[in-house]
Amino acid sequence: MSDLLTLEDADLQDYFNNEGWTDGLPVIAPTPVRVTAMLAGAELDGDELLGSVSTHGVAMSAQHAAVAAVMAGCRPDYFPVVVAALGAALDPAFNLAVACTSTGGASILVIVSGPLADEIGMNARHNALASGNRANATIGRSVRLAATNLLRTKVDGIDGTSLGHPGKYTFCVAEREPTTWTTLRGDLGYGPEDTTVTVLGAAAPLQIANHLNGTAEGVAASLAAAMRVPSQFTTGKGGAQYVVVLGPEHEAALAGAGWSRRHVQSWLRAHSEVAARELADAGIGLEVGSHHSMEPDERGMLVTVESDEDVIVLTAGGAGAGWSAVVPNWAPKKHSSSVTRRVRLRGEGLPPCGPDGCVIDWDAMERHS
Amino acid sequence: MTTIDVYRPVPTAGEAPPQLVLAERRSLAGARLVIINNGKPRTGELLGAIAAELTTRYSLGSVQLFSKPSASAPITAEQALALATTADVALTGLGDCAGCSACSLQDALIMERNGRPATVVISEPFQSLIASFSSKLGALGYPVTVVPHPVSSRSSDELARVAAQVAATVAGHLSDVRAGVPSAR
Repeated sequence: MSDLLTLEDADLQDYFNNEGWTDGLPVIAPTPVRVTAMLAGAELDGDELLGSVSTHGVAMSAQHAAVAAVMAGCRPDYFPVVVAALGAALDPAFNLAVACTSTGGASILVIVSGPLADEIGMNARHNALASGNRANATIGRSVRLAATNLLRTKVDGIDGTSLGHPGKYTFCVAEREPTTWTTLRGDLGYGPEDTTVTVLGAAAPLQIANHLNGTAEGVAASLAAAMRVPSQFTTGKGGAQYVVVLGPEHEAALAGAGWSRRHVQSWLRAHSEVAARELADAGIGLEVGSHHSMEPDERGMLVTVESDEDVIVLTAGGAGAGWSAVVPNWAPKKHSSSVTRRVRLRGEGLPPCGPDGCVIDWDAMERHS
Repeated sequence: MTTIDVYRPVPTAGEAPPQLVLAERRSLAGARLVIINNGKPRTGELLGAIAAELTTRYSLGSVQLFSKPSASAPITAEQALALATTADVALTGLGDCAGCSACSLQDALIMERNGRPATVVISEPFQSLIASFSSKLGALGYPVTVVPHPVSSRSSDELARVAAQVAATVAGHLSDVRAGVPSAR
C-alpha cells in the first residue's frame, strides 16, 4: 500500500521528478481525495490486487494503480480500462519486468475494443495513434507510470533502454468499429457488449502509405513488406507479433474484395516470411545456436510470424488518403506475448485469480523477495 | 505556502531484504561446473571457453550445459534444485542486454540459495544496472564477471582471449582460490 507524505504544493513537480516517480512530464498530485475517487470509478478497494511480478517480489494493488491514474490525468470513468490493461500487463506471459527494462525499449501498447471506448470518449478516428484525446493519452500513460513505479525502474536505475521511442510516454488506441467485419474482441471470442483490452510490448509503429493501389492484394502486400523489414529485431525469428492498424480506406479495399479479417491475418502471416539472403544483404547475421531459431528452410526462407493469431488486425483512423500502421512487438513472443483481458464494469468486481484474472505465484514471490 | 498530502507512487520501502549469504566456496579441483546458458548469441562459445580454461588451470571434474529456452526468465525453483544435485558450481550468462542480465543474475543468486557458488558473466555497459538489481535482491556487492562489450560480433579467437583473461576472476568468484592461484581440494 502506498504511504502518504506531506509536501509544499509548489514543490510537488520537482519533488516527484527528482525522486524518479514521473515520465518527465508534469503530474497531477495524487491526493487521498483524488485517489479515492479514482478507485470509486471501478468500485474497487485500494487493497485489492491486480497481479504481481514475482521475479521482483512485488504485487500491484488497486491503490497503486489509482495513484498512477491520478498522476497521469485520468478521469475515474477511465479507470476500469486502466485496471484491465494492468491486469493483462501483469500476466506472466507479458513478462512486465523485461518489457520495462530491456535495451530494446518496449512501450506498452494498449488496444481497446468495445462500447466502453466510445462511452468514455476515446478517439478511434483522426489521430487514432497520436495526441489530442484525454482518454487515449491518460489511459496509456497510467499503465506506463503504474508499471515503472511498481518496478522502480527509474528510481533504482534498472531500465536499460538504449533508445526507446515516444510510445514509452503513452501508447493507447481504440478500435474503430469496422464497417463490415467482425470486431477484434469478437474474433477473440468476446461478445459485442464486452469491452476488451489487449496489451503488447511494442516497438515504434511503422506508418504504411499506399495511395495508388486500391486492390486488396496491393494493400496487403504493402503491409506485409513492413512485417519483414530485415533490421527489425523480430524479423525471421519466428516469434513476431504485429498489430496492424488499418486505416478506413485500406480496410475498405480488403473487405470490399471479400477478404475476411481471418484471411488478412493468414495472408500477412504467410507473406511475412523473409529470405535469409535479404537479411544478409541488409547486414543482419543469422543467430546460430541461440534461443532464437533462425535456420532457413529448403527455400532459403525464415518464418517471421508463427501463427495467424499473432497478427492482430484492427481498424482505426480518419477518412482520407490510404494510410495504415504496423506495430511490431519489440522482441519475439517467447520473451513477452500479447495478453487480452475483458474490462470489468463498475460494480462487477475483480475476478478471482485465475486464467482471466490476476496471476500471483506466492511461492515465487517469496523466493524473490 | 500551502501543503498537501499525497501518496508516494512507488511501493512502500519495507525493511531491506536480508543480505544473501553466499554459498561456501571450496576448491575447484574435481568440481562439477554447470553452465546456465541463456541462449544469447555466442554465449555457449564464450562460457564454454571459460569452462575450458577453468578445466585446464584448476582441474574441474566435469562441465555440464543447461540451456534456458529464453533469456527473459530466470530458471525455475525446480530446475535449480535439479542442477544443484548434479553440479557443485555454476556459471551463468550472458548478460549483454538489460533484461537478460537481470535474469542471468537471478540464475546465479538462485544457485547460491541452493548452496552452489555461482557467478554471472555480463558485458561492461550493464555493470551499474546489475549492481542496482543485486542490491534490490539482497545481494549488495555480488561479485560478477565483466567482459568487454559487445560479445556477439567477436571472432572465436577474440572470445578465447576474453575467456583466458577472465578465467582467474571467475575462479576467484567460484572458489576459495585467490585469483590466479590454484589451491588443493
